[in-house]
Amino acid sequence: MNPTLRIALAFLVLTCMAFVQITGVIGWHWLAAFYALTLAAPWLSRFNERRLSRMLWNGGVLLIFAILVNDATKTTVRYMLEDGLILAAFCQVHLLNNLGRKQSPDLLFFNSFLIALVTCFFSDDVAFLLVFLPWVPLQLGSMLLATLARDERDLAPSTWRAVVWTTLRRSCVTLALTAGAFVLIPRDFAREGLAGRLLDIRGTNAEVGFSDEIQLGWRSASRREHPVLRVTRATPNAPWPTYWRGATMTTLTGSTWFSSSADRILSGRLPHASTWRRTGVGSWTRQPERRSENSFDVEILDEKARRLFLPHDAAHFEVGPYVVAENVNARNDATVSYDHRAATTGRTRSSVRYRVTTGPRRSGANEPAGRIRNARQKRELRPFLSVPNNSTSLRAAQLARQLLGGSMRAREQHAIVERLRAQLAQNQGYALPGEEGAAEGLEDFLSGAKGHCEYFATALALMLRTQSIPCRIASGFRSNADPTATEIVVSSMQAHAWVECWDPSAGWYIVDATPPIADEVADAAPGWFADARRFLDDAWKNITTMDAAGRIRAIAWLQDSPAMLLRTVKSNPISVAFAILGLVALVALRRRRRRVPHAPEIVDYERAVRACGLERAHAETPHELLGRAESLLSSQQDAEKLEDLRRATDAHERARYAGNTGS
Amino acid sequence: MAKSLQRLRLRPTGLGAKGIVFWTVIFLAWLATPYANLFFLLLCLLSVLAPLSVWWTARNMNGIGAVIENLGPVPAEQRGEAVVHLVGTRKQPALGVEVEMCVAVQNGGSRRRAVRRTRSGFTIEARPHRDIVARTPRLPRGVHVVQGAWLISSTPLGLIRARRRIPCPTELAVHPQPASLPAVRDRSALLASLRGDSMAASGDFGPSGLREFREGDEARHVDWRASARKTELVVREWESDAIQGIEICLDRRCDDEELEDALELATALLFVAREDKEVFVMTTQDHSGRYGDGKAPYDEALRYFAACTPLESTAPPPPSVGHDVLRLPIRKERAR
Repeated sequence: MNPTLRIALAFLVLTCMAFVQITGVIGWHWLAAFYALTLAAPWLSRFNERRLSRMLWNGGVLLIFAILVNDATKTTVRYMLEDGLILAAFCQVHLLNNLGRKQSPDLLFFNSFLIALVTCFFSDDVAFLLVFLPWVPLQLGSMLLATLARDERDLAPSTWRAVVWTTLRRSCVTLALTAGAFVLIPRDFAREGLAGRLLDIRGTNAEVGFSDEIQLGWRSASRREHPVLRVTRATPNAPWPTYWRGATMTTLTGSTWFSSSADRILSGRLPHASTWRRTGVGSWTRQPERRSENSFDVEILDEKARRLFLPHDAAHFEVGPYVVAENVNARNDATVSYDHRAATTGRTRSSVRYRVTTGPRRSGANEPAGRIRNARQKRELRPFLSVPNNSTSLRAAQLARQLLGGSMRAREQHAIVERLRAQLAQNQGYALPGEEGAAEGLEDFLSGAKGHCEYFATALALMLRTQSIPCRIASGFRSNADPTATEIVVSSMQAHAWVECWDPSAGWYIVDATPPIADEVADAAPGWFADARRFLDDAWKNITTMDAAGRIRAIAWLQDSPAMLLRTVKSNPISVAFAILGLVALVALRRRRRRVPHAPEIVDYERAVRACGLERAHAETPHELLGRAESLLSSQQDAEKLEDLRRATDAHERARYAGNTGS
Repeated sequence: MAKSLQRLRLRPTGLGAKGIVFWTVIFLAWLATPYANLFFLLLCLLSVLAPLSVWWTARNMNGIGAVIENLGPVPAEQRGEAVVHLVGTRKQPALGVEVEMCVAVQNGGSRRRAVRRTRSGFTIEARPHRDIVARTPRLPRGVHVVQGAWLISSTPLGLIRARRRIPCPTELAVHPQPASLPAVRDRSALLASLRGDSMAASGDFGPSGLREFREGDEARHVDWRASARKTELVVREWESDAIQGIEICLDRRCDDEELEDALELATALLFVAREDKEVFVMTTQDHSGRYGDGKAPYDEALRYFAACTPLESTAPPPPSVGHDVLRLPIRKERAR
């Protein structure tokens, strides 16, 4: 294979490895090996004719395939996809190192696309974009080189320049047309798919998103993001709520949190646990005596959502005209469920909208917690104090004692809660399932492995319960929105779980032990790099979270682009004029460079001819023109021009016939 | 030759056909799985590449063509060369261009003809008014019909192949491969050895006169007696009964194998004459020709060799020729 083509393919395979890396499905030991074999390909390829080398490579493929088949028999479709990705990655490296002289790299190109495709099932954050953008020109450039680099000769520098330039140009065209097709082609954004249930990658497998049951122990989680809520302010400058509650869970059995209706009823019976009361056809309230402060309009964007997500301090909510009030179920634990399907039977789907108003609530943190007054309260709080009878609970109790130290025993509830929360947030690392160092069970997490919000919440809840502090798990979304934003879109990736503790004098209050994750820290960080990252993130989310409404907005923006451009030109005429002039100059310079350069002697000769005011006649030789010039230009003034022409003619003749000329 | 360029024809390559199947599989997978924005984006990318590939490939071949003005005789079972002159008005070079040639092999009048297709002359940057060298396919001896020649390219993505027909001669003469000749000191000795003459060593012809010695004359031609009479060396000038050069007489009343041997030898002798820029004379039952400078071109003789077929034993003999003309095929009893 041509060495240039092999190098281009090596870069292509490196981007494939980058795709695999961002999925997080392969451990570092596999990745390091793949990267090393890819980088060593130009050197290893010299051995590909040897039988031993081929045996080793083919043996490697068979071995990996056998391991994956063995794994696939024990796992579900989801893990088969991961295993297939590993095999595809190895096949890429294998092909790169073993393609023969006359073999074309067709399979490598197809495999590369497949890897990009499978990656999008695992990761659709901005990392995908950052790998996708160089992957496209590498793919196109490699395909171009495969048609040009037929033998083992190096390409000429002019060919190299042509290849690079045309590849970049064509990549931009391809990406632009792809974006246009993506926006303009109508499709059903909620399509389930012909084999949706059979090939459901989301269904029984972990996916980052809201759930009303928490199950610990996932080995990996899909990070496919989609929008869930769109929130706008109804009250100007109202601070954005951070927590949006969807469900509460009280009972932990094994590794699963869930909540029974009995638990929810008990939640509502506790003092200060205000429950929702219907006040009108589509309105509910739970703090009629308190003054309402801030209002927000919420739109549910996820059609599969069965909850109306409300801030923790929601005091009042009112559903929109397209929401059937009878399908709204305001629960005793202050969460609200909604049966969307019943409302859309026989009608076109309309988004669920409601207005929520928050009221001031005691956080419970700044005042001493109340005491449990009587035996009846103790009985009612039993579900919120129960821990499973297993080693994990013992481990949690031990950890709590360790974190609190002996002196904390006498302190009151808030101090204990804060101490445990802070210690947990400080000492434990954050990782989603499948990431490096992520826990595969609660025992793992309590022993020091990293975990996500569900592990933090579970560990804190267990520790608090061992200290006789009633608590439950709440799930929903955590949104650290920019205070200056005019609207916020809460996505599935912001799903969150936290603990709610019971304060006998103030009611339920939020305790969140999960440390802010890297993205959230980056989002809050100042600086141009953080701003650029946020901009890129937001721009990419417009694609990954696009829905029907988003598509309509994008088309409207495209339709408005000419008018926007005109407005820009009118408002900045000088800058635009300079920009156009610069562009014209660039094009003229490129065209001038493209022309075959003349030798300086020819340029000089033509200048001398022009200076004499003559033009070369058809088929007239330089000497014949010189003779004509001598007969025409006889005056003293023209003597210098004539001399110049003689000199230029001689130089031209010497250059053309006695030396190398450019043409 | 036609000045205007022929129409461009586009067809998927092997990679393009695989790409169509691949796209179909991906599309079906997209239909099967729940909608996902990124999956759709990648499907759009794949879909956009198809028409772009057609557009770019056609644009790469826009404004460039070629012409093959001459397809000279080529040796049998070897790939001969053909000069392809690129034409057109294109300013930027066309990338990844090569020539495809399709020749129908003549099988001695058999109705069934095999077609040999070959691609050659690959050029990374093809500009008008330049030449590229294409190669003809390996063919048996004969005059074969050139079904067509095309300028093709599948750049940039290799998914679509663009073909443009180019004018070329309609026949390709494939002559026998030249036989190996014995290593002798000069041509007359060579011919004589082939004829089996006892006078092979001298390679003499009849003397025609005397002249003064010139540089390059052989010492054996010096007439010592005449030189003794004069004060300078004198050489005998020889004039053969046949013409200067090589003359053969081909009797085609023989079997195929003998004819092939004879033609191979004749070809070798023709090459010798061509190299020395001398006349080559050939006489056979239905043909007589003189080839060389000022006469018919050597290629015509090669063409005759390409098309030559044996005759029945009852066919008339070739015209009578001088005793020093090499008669082919060389019969073993004559060599005695």
